[in-house]
Amino acid sequence: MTDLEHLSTQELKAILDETEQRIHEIRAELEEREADTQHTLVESIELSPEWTPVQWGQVKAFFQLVLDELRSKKP
Amino acid sequence: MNSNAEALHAPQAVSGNRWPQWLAVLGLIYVLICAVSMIGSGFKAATGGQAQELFSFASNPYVGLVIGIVATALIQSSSTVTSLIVGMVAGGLPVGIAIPMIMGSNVGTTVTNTLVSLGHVRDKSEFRRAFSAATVHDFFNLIAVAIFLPLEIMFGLLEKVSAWLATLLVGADSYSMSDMNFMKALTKPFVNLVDGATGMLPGAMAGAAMVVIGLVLIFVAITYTGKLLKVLMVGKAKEVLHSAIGRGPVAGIASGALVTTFVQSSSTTTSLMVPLAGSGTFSLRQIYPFMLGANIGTTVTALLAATAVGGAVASSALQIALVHLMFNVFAVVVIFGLPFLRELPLKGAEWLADIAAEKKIFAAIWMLGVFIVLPLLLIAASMVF
Repeated sequence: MTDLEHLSTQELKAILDETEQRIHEIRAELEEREADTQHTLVESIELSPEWTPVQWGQVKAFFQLVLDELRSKKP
Repeated sequence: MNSNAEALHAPQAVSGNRWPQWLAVLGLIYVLICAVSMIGSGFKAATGGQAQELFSFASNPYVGLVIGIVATALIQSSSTVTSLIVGMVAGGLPVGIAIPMIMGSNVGTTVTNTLVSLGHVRDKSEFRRAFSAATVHDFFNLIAVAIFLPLEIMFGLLEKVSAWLATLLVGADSYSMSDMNFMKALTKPFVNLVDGATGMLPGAMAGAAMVVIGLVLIFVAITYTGKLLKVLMVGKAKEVLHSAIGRGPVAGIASGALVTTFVQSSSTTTSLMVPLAGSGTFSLRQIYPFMLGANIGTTVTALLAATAVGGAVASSALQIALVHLMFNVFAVVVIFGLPFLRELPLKGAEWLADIAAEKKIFAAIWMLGVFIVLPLLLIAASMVF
């Protein structure tokens, strides 16, 4: 796959160090992007006095789906 | 990060003059405190000082637990139920009977965010993530009860520690602060007014009417305080959430506790987290500590309610409010503190969400099982044994 056996120990160590550094940078970049997305989502939170956590229409729709799922299983 | 920090100030800058809303919050807190005091007086009058005998059916801790679960699941407000319990303790309900009710209210309050997660059912992956975020709270609170209720039954752990702490804070009866109770002096006119009105009813009916009025006022005060605080504190809540991002579980617990204290409702904060998890932006492991913090933050309401009670029962009222706080703090320390226990709610929630995403009936079974069948089974078992 590679010509690693032709490289000196020093060269291999240098490649390894560079790769580890790169992995570290990629991880940091991914974490930063994840944090940025989270900040954006938190910022989008809207709370009004009328806000209620439970939407009963959605709960009803869920139980309707459960019933449909059960009916579809019947022979 | 900086751009987000700057964006935080925007809602505050445009908030304008909000003192009328803050005054309304203060007024509603006053109503809450008066209502707790009314429940204490009314409960005492209605039971004729025989609360222990009247509630002997709840002396079985499993019955008390069920009362807490069902009452909170129905009202969908643990703050209302715990404030009511504080009032009842002030009226003579023994702390030992009230402790399982407090534990039950912790379980009952999780019904709200579980119901919220059902709204994500259209997308399988989204539903898996949202349902696991909601049920991690269920699992945690059920494990907390499974650990601490037997300890309470065997050793009276919370009762003893809270009694010691309450005595330390309020003082024993012999050197109580009742004579200079500022809160009592403040609430007396309003409570006396309602007492005078209900006093026209015969016998125990007057006390019962006072309890009902107190309960309605607690519900109204907590509902409207929540509505106002949602608007007033949303900026601060966002600020806390921003500061917790990328900071690990302890910051997550602290932010959950703070945001819940700000909006005075764990249902609000935990329900807000479910869509964040459902979208996949926050992982279950990031949401989990926040849910535990919400458990702690919601105990502030009962502590506030306890300030309404003066005299010889002040210590008992504070004691049951402290039980609520300590139960949740101990649960976090023990369950989240011990690595092998910490993983249990996560594993349970992930497993349940996986099977519920495939077959919705399992989500329905969980909902009905935890909040209806389990309480009924506990009552049946308590009748048999």
